[in-house]
Amino acid sequence: MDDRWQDDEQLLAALGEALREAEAVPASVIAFGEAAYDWLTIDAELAMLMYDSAVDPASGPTAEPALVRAEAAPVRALRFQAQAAAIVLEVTDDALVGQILPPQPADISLTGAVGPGVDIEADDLGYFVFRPVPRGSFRLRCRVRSGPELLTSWFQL
Amino acid sequence: MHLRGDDPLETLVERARRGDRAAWNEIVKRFAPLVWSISLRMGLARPDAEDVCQGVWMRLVEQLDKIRQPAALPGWLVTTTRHECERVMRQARQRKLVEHRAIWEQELTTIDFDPGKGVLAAEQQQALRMAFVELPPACRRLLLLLLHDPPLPYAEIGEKMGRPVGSIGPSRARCLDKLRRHPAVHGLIGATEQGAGQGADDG
Repeated sequence: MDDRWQDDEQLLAALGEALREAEAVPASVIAFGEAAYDWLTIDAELAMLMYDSAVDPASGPTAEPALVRAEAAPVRALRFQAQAAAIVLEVTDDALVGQILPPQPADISLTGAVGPGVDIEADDLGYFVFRPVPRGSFRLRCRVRSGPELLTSWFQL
Repeated sequence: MHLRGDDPLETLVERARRGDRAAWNEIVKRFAPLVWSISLRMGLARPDAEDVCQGVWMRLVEQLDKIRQPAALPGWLVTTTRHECERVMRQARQRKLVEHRAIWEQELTTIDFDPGKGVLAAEQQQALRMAFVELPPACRRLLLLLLHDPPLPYAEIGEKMGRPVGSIGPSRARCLDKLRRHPAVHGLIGATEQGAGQGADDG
């Protein structure tokens, strides 16, 4: 405990400051937090972020071929892994390109914490493209034809 | 002041786990100030701090089933918030690298804040709020009246509390002592170090 809090005056002042700090939280931030609860009720298998080139550029997953040839700047690459399937993403200059592995068609939704999502379809080889590159915080929801629905952990572009 | 209080954290976590949205909202209300103030104290701009908050609550929803000791929640939130902040900062730098390499390099050399200090202050404030919401209602009411801005005379506080003026001073001391003895406040230093080491990290 902070030694100054042994003093009643200082403790009361610190409490006042702590309560004012709580008042200063923007309503939108509380709303994001409350909205996060919606995800609790979604019955999907979580695909966790296993690799992010922005975080760990050195040890990229070499097992998977690059979706897009990197010519100049290094491409941002992410890999989400669930038990039976994986989702790989690459950010190019003008698009977010992804593939479901093993390759299979699926309905894909890109969803932010609040607001409507963007729905697209992955082709028979599991490829999908969001153009332009979405900016902000997202997660992907993939409804494959067989097997459980996949939900990626939270990521930022 | 909107901190309602009464329900212990254990009950709230258990209820939220079983699908009680009101309990979840109360958890968010109690801990949003901690997550928000750490994000700002780590030096993030407001839009990035909002991203961090979103990420932290999403992770908590995912982890809700796995929280065995609700008392460890504040520590988990501190650790997770710090990790999210670091991730968002890295990504912000990455964006700038692509867009304006020169600016990014300049920024890298000018980072001179000490996030650890700010996080400790945020944790101390959270401990006080946690202790406060679990005080008896009469104590909470009295302390809020004592914190009124502008300050109220004891006579008016006594009137609002329906208690003799002479009892306000002793009650104030007793309530502040309860606040001080609350485990969240009393064990603050130890809890902080433990929380930083034990916090679960899922990514």
